[in-house]
Amino acid sequence: MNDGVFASLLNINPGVFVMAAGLLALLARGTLQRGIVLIGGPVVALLALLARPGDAEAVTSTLFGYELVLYHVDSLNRVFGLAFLIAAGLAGIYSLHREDRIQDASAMVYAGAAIAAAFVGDFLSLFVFWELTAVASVFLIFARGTKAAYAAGMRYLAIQVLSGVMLLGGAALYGSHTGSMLLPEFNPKEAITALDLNDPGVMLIFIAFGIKAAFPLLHNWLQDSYPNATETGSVVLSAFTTKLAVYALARCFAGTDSLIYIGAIMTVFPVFFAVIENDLRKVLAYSLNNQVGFMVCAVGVGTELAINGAAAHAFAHIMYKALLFMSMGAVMLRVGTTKATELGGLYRTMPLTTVFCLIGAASISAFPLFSGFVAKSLTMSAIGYEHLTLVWAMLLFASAGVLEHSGIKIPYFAFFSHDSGKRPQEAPFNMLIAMGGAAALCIIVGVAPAWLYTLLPYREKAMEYLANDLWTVDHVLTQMQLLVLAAFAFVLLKRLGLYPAEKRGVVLDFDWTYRKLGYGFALWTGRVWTRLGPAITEIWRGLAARIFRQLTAAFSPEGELSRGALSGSMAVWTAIVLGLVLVVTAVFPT
Amino acid sequence: MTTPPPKNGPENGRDATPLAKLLFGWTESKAAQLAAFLVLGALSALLILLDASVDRHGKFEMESLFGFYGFYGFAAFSFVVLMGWPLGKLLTRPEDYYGEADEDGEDEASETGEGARDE
Repeated sequence: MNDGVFASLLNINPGVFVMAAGLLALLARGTLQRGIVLIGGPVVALLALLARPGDAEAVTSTLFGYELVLYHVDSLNRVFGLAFLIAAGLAGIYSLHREDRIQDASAMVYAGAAIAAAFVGDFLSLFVFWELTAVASVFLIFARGTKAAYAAGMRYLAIQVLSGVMLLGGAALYGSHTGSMLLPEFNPKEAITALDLNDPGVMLIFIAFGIKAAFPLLHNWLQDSYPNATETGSVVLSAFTTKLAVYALARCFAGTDSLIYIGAIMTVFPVFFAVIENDLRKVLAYSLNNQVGFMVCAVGVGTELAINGAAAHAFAHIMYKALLFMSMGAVMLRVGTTKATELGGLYRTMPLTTVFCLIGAASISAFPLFSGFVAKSLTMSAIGYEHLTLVWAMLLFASAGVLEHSGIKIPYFAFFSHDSGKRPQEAPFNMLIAMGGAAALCIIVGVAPAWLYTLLPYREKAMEYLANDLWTVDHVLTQMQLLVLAAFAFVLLKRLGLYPAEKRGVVLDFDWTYRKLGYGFALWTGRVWTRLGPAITEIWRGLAARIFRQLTAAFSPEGELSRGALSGSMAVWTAIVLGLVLVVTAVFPT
Repeated sequence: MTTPPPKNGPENGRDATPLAKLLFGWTESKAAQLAAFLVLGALSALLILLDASVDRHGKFEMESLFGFYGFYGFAAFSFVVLMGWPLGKLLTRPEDYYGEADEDGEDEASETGEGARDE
């Protein structure tokens, strides 16, 4: 290939290759063509990213006098981009069994937009791809084809677009103050300077990121939409949106104290919802929320160790969360539901899916030798070094909670527990390959974390941690104590009959305020208006007619004021008033 | 085949794949369940006892309490699970509460045929 052409290809944001694959997916027919497009897109993008020289210049442009950075790579966005690309490839394999061109295109454009967003360096470009992730991904929810999915999709779209609008508004304010739309630069040799939250524009940007990261009370779109997506849709969705937000927070708000507490609350409260939720994909959505809490907390701590923790956790989490969603997606496809009350005993005919789910469960629970352990440890240690006792205790509590909902509940109720009598087929071959790939990554990262650690934003710090802290006896022992005794609590409570049985139903969360209270208020207002409207119109009409009649009576040629000799009385009165004004202004000249 | 009749389900064990039987068949046996309970209990005790033999250098005071992580994990897990009782009562509503009941479930699953049994 011509060197010039090759070099210019390396200057294309890798997200563009994936988005292009998404457009090609609209034309692809048959498994072979779809396979080439859906796997080829992310692979080409990955190669383009890996082949780009480390010292390559950023690709820039200008718009309205603002400098745009369309493509730049540093050690912070590189690790997120790699995770996104791997997830996009695995999701491509996972979706091959179902020929649905709209869904293929939607997934790839969505993934590509998230990847592109990670590699741009200014707020305007970020906004464009930020909104594109929202618009492209909603089709993954609509594709389920149910009424509930449509409603959830519309709510999802409204909230995601709102996030984008706030980002644009915030960026515009920020840009007008500072004269620059550029995102803060990341240099592993210098301390990160977070944006100042006292600037209202920056505050808007912060909330926009917070919506996408599903901060507490802004979180319901996640549990609402992901379980309503198709079996492949929830896998794709789980990988990108929230982690893009974590990346954006790390770039702009590292070391912002409020994030520590926002993150800590995020780790704790979903645990309680997850324990009573019946739909296992919704349990995973709560679990996602809880995991992102660890990352947000780490970003808030903002030290080198903590930022490494956030990035490593994001990387590992994208793999094991996708794996868990894949296993539940396989159940969804084969059984038609992921409600715990309808499942149980599926290991009999889905043993491989069971094994993969268990690997995902062990990873998210952070058992040593699985990926969660090597990732979460960084964050926990970083919090330890800052002596944030309460936060540390909350995260430790949440770690036991993760074992409950994702480590035990998901595999137990789907594949073991009481026999539901259902004997579904094993997952399709393509799903098994994708799950196998994700599971392999969970184990490789867990057993040999060095290669992930070399990719982290502060590489030297990571290698130092790997050499001195990760595999110490007390670290492994304490983690095993936490997990094994928590698991023992499970079997004990189960034997004593104290573990609450799953039951069908919806669990009320904060979205009650807009789905019930807000919606109810809107309905009530509508009803009141329908009845009151005509009455009010009648009153206005009557009033207007009366005023008109009286004005006519006064001012019309036949009216009161025109009657009698002094027909010009209004002119006289006007002259008197004007005269008074003249006198007053003459006496009081100022 | 001369497998004994199933204990807790009409089709229990009858159509599990060989791989499934090999990997997870043991989970059906009551004895194995008891054994798992006892092994987990013994392992818990062992891990707590090991605490005494390891030089711990925690960053918080409470970390150095004997068996802290184990007891914390046990307590946290139990608390979360037991909170499931009151929270479940308080927050669970019928599935069509929002007027958008899911259309999945048993009926649809049998209609699609995808949930049909292997064979």
